[in-house]
Amino acid sequence: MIRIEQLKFAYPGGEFVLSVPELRVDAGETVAIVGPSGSGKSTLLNLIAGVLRPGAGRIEVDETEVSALPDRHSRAFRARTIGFVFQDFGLLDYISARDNILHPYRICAPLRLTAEVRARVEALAARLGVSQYLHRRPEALSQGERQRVAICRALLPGPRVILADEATGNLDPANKTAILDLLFEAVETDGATLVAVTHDHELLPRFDRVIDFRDFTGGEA
Amino acid sequence: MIGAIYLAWAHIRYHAGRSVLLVLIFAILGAIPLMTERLATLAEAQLLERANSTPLIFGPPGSQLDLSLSALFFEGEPRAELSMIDFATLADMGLGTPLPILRTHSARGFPIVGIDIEYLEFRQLRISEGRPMVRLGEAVLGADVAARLGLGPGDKIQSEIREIFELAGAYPLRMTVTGVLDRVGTPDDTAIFTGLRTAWVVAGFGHGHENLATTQDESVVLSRDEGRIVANAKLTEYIEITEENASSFHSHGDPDEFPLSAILIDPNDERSAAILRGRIEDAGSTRQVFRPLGVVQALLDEVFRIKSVLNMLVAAVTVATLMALGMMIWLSLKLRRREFEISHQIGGDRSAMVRLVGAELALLIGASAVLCIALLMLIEVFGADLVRALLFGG
Repeated sequence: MIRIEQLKFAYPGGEFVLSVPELRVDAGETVAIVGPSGSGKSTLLNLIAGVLRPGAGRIEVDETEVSALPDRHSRAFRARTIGFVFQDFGLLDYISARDNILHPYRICAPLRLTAEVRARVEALAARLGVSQYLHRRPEALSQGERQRVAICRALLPGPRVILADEATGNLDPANKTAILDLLFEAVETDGATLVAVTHDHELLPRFDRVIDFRDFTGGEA
Repeated sequence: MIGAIYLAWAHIRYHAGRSVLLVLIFAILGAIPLMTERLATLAEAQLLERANSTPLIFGPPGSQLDLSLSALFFEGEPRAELSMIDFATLADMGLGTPLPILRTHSARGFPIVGIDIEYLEFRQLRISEGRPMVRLGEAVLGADVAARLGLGPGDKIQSEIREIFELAGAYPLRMTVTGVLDRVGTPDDTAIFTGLRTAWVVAGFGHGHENLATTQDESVVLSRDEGRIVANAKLTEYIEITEENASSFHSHGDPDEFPLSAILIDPNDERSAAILRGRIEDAGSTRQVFRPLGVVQALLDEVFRIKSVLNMLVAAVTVATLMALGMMIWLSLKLRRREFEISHQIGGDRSAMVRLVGAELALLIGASAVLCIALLMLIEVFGADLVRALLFGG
């Protein structure tokens, strides 16, 4: 599902270099990435999604070489294939939870907002327990509710890969478990692959595999 | 694009206060130059129309502008340096119709203008209620005077005391309103018209009192000396002309020398106008005759020269305001940086954010344009009245 070979990445003008000789994540696999802050975990997620372009090497997701896609195609691929979940939820404060869930359909060219999509929002919201909050703006939601809405947004297009960047970082213990349950349920239900960056070692046993990022950093650009 | 408009509208509604402020600023920035330009055009048209409809003004030497303002717009200090002799001289020339004007006191803030009845015809003033002034002590009100004072035929209006002709004992005169003029959108709407005789009484050139020769009250007689009777201060002068006392009204001076402020001349034709001007110029420097259009145009040229400087200042302020707005929008975009990052990460089109911001600006500018157009439409509807009120106090 995800195949990385001889990946090297450096931010322009920065000293930090991310080096990943090889990494494979199979379809349906759940992988946790751990490592110290600034070790490049979030950077790797952005590389997998095609948000960043590697300096060298090859990244293949769902049999598409994302590292070689032109920007426009990369964005379209991301919209269809990748579901992002962020630590800060990344919700827009000026629209309702429902509109936040539908947001990708308003800004991504390949996604078409149809009545069927709207119906799926209701079903997904019910599944994730946020049906009663759909009309509210994010500021009227608790942290856990916001992250559920954010997960709805990530899952709505039916992504093949879910990239969770510290998705439970801002949550209390009860919500951490609940949110992780939802992500794992999505993997099981939809057959998606989960790559989650986390600092929370208590959650690690639940993942199929844990990758310690210290193994990848320190290479040369 | 519908998605962008939807999100832009949501953002505008969420930041309603900021959005309203931006719409108002954009609307004001757009409307003020256009509105002032339109009002200036209307003002110019009204001033020129008034001047254009008055072929010639005859008056004493001095400022043509002051004389034009007084004779055309009833503005400025009332002066009366002409006399009925001038009127007779012009009438004798037979080159046009002289229309005498005497600006004297005011009544409840509106100028009293003594005229011949021909003035109403010359200005195409029609009576909407009542009848023209015919007898001594009668007045016809301009439309705005009647409306603002709530007066109509049969009501009374009293002149205010002002000793403009340095004559002692000019009593206020309570005049009877006999008619109200149609609204014409000129200074005539804000004037109180009387006959010249009434205006002279108002100015102190005539009065009425009991007959001293037959009076029963000897206490009002100071002395009797060979048919000459001198009254003391106890003698009460009438302040209202009625059927009963009208015959007692009289003047003590020579009617030929009674004052006038100016004489409008409606020449028979261009040739008559030229001859008239030549004769007045040949007669020396004690009188002048001129076309008010040129005087008003010269005044407007001065005003517009000043206006061009003001326009530059407005332009500078507009540029500064736009720069401030630009900074406000830029800061607003910086605050939305995380939103744009998220959009990029979830696969939003490169142009999505541009469309979103563009749609928001377009909606704000569109709302401003609507408001701006509404303001301009208000100016179109009420601008002429507003200008008239500003210029002529209607």
